[in-house]
Amino acid sequence: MKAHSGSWLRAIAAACVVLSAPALRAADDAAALLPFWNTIEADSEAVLSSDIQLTDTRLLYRHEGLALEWDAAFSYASFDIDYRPFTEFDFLGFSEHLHEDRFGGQANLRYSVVDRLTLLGGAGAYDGYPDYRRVWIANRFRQKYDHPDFPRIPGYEEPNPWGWNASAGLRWEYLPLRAFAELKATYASDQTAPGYEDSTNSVGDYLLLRGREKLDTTSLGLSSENVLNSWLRALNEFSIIDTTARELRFTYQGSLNAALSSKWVLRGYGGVSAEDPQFEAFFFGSTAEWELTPALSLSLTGRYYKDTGEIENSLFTSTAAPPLESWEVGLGFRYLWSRSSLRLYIGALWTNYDPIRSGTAEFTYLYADREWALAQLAYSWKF
Amino acid sequence: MQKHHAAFLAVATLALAGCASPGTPEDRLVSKPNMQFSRSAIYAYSSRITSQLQPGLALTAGAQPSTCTLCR
Repeated sequence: MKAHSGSWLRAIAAACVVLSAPALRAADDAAALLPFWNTIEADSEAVLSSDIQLTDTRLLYRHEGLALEWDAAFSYASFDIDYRPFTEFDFLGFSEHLHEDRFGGQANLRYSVVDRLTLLGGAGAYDGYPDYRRVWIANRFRQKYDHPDFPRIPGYEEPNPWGWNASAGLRWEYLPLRAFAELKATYASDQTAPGYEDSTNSVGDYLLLRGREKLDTTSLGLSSENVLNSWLRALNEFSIIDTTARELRFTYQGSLNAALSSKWVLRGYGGVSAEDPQFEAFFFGSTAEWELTPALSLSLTGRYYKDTGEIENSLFTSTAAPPLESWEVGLGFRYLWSRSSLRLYIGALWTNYDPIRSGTAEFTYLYADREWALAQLAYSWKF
Repeated sequence: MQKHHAAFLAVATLALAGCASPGTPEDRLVSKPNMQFSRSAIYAYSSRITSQLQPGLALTAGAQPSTCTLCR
């Protein structure tokens, strides 16, 4: 009952705030802010270069009640790649078009057990490649060990990547409406597309070594969200990630949102990742948003990312990416109706890799510099 | 039916209590939807796909970024 009374107060406070805003005075909006509401969201994004096209689409339903909030989402991703072998090292490789799909589902739950303390839970699964680089790398091994003109090399198996995850956590509102701490533990199991390496057995005969197929990941995340004053809101997120056969990865991201005026909001973030023995990454970005009319907002985004390259962990051939530097700029539009919202973002992204290392030469075209076009479209309906 | 009761109770509470100001007018700025760290796609400021390109992004680390040939 205590949890419910707290939720009621929050719902009433939210209704008061929004009813005070001229843009949202319609009776429909007031109804939408009552303590039970549902949301359907559809969002789709595409990232396109001249030889790689990637899409990701998600359909989500969310129910928000007094003490219980849950959502369920279905997602579909596609990978289209004009594969190109590096023939100086890959004599039998051939160009071909690759198409792969990934289907996924994710559900999340938030339950206020007592006032200001919320239990978090989540679970999800996917079937398909998690990213385009694995599609490319898997095809390199397919052409090498299961070439259409030659018998399959013993030891090679067609990949079947899939995975699942589960998470649990707590969110504590330690200062009402002002400060929140969140602790979350996640376990993920991934059946990967493994790597392969030519080798010999103890008597000197050829042996095809297959890399680890199953990876277990456990992570612990701690975050704190704080309202610093009447126009500043901050979020600090730390996590420790432990993946099979790898060193611990530490990540930090700090975000700061500033309401410069009633019409201007500036959002900024920055972060680092580090993993022994030598992986480091840092990134930052900012979005300036201008409320042109109560219904229409425009935004300008810039982002920067740099890392030291993935960790070499093979004897001869490596799939590890060389050091990467990338930039992104984009324009966003958001339009709000009484119960619906629409967002469009278009941008450009440049990825520049350091020169390829000798062990990674087979993947020269995978790690080529590229210019990408980005587009995101999202629609939300509250009822 | 329970939903209707809840809605009625909310409206009644609003009518009886009124909308107390959450603070100075500036306090409302920090509660604007685009000032929140929202999970809604409408107020999303990141991309699910570009995390494939940038393996060190803090919130995407895990099993996925590693494309090791042979993990040892």
